[in-house]
Amino acid sequence: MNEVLDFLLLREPNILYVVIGTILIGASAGLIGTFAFLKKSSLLGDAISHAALPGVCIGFLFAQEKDPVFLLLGSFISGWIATYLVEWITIHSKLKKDTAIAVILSFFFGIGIFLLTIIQGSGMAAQSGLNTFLVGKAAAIQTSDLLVFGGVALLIILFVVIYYQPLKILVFNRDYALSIGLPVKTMEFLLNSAIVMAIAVGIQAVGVILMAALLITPAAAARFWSYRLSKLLIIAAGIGGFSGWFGALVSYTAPNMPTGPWIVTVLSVFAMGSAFLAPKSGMISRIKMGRENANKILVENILKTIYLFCEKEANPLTRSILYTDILEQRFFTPNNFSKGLRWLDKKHMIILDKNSLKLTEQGYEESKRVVRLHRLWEVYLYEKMNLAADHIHPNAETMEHVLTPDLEKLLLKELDHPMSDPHQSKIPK
Amino acid sequence: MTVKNPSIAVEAHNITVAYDRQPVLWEVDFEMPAGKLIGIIGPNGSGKTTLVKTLMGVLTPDSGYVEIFNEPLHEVRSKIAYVPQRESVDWDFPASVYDVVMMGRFSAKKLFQRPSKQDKLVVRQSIEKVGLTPFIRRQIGQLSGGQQQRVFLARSLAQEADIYFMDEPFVGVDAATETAILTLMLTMKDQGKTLIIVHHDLQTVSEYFDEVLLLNTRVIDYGPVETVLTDANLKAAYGGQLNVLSKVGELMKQSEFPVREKEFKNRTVKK
Repeated sequence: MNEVLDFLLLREPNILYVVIGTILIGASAGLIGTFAFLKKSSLLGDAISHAALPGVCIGFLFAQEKDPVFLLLGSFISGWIATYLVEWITIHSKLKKDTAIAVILSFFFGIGIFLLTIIQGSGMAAQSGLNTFLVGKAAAIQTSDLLVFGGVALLIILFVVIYYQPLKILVFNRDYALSIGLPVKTMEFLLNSAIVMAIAVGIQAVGVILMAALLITPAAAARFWSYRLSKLLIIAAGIGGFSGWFGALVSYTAPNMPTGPWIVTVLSVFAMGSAFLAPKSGMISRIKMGRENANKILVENILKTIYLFCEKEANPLTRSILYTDILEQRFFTPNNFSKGLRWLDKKHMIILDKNSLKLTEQGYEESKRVVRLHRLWEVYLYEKMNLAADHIHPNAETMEHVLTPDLEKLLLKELDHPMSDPHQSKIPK
Repeated sequence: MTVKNPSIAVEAHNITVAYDRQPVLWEVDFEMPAGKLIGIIGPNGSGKTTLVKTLMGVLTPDSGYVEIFNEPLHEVRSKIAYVPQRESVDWDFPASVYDVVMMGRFSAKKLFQRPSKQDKLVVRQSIEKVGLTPFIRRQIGQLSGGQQQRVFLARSLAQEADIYFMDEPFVGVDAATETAILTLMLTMKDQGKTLIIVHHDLQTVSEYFDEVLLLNTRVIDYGPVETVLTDANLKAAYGGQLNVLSKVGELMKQSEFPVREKEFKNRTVKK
């Protein structure tokens, strides 16, 4: 518990460095990953991350120690080679992109594991901890490494901020970018380099196996919350930064835990939470909307049925209608029927008696409105769409629940205020 | 020494383009006058889109060159506006109508500048001209096909260009949008703009355009609508492939021949 407090309150200066470093790493990955996501190259990101492993090993063999610059350079170069090879295979062979990605991913990862095994068997003293690159260990980042990693992460963030507008144009519409003379080739090179760089610095914290999640998941989660690219980038960077910080917390308080899986779990919670909770596009609000619609259809259908009994009365509000009469006129399941009546009662549309009901003034107006829409729509189908009179009822059944007051006005105007529907029933005013 | 004609908007000189060694355009050569509404028509796969992309420098031809207002392309970029095919982009992209039209105000020369008051004004006016002001903040994926086409149109208006290249602007739009686009095009022509439009509906060609280029890999004919749309020309364009040419293309693909020998690839020096 003490460690958690130490970490949260940044009690040691070295914790501060780790926190700043991991937040920068996570934020830069989330930021540049949004462009990979929008370019639809999420899978390529996964291939690049796996391809970073042989680079890390070769970088280590070169330096004979875990020098951050060499490790970074190694993973950057092998990541780039993988990117280039995927493109080359896609263009120059019959293989499609997904095949090329799968082949390159496993090929490079295989070589990486091979090299790692050789290094571990070599008995070099400095090699201990190299396998943290597989699943990540945020707390293993040295203060001196952080300068390099944090610097690169800042560079990536700066790149996105400065090149925001051209990147947006390029990713949305490449042909258009070419037509206004943007240096498309150069920008694509820079963008790809930034993605590879973000991966190269991120693998220290997350590990090569799970790195793609830190790149792509923040953008995927953010997509539920905004359709504006600028906000999307800020949210994705925030989620990435938070998961980086959380990874460091886990890594510091439980040194034997691999950081990568924890970061990925937090990210997935964000993504799934967004998928459920986001307004409008989230699942919960869509389920809610569906239920509201179902309820609207139910009560409006009940009102419409009641209206048929009141229609010919001189004083409709005094007419008492038996439940059994309503159910005879139109089928409702017992459950739905009582649910609908309860709702109408609560809204003071009807007054319930033991086994009969009466409409209130506002209930009567509402029922008139539903019937009016139904009959107006029937006239519309009959006159403007040339449908036969016996074909229009089912369609009007649905439309009456959908039509808004604005559309009602439009209908009335277009049909020139008709008096009766194609079945010769009066259209209530 | 030839005297340059100032009224020439687009000159294509012996353009050949090949995809995967299959020639898509073959020795295409023409001059289009300024201030006209010009249609590019031809059957599917006849190279219409490729031609427009080449004219705008989106594609580099295997041989030949393009001049706009008697200048090489890169000198006159700001005079060109482009309306790509609607299906060529992902409409789920996180951007609003305003965002996309604002893209029309950016050029390679002022990439890092923030939009000025003038830019914002032009964007608002362009959106109003295509009747999308009520949807200005809407995400572009939530628009109808016709409205999406108008977004692209508004972006090209915001470019304030002299030549407008439009790739199938009438495809998949409602009748109201079609009329709106056409009215807009005629207004633009009256302002002296040149409009070059890829079109596939033969029925409406004579109604819309002053001149038409009939294309099927090579130029069948180019000129005023009534002289180009003859039975013989249409038969040449639509009556099946050129047998020998397609066989040559097939052969080149199989044996991996280059489309042009190296010394003919570059732009010929004009005296």
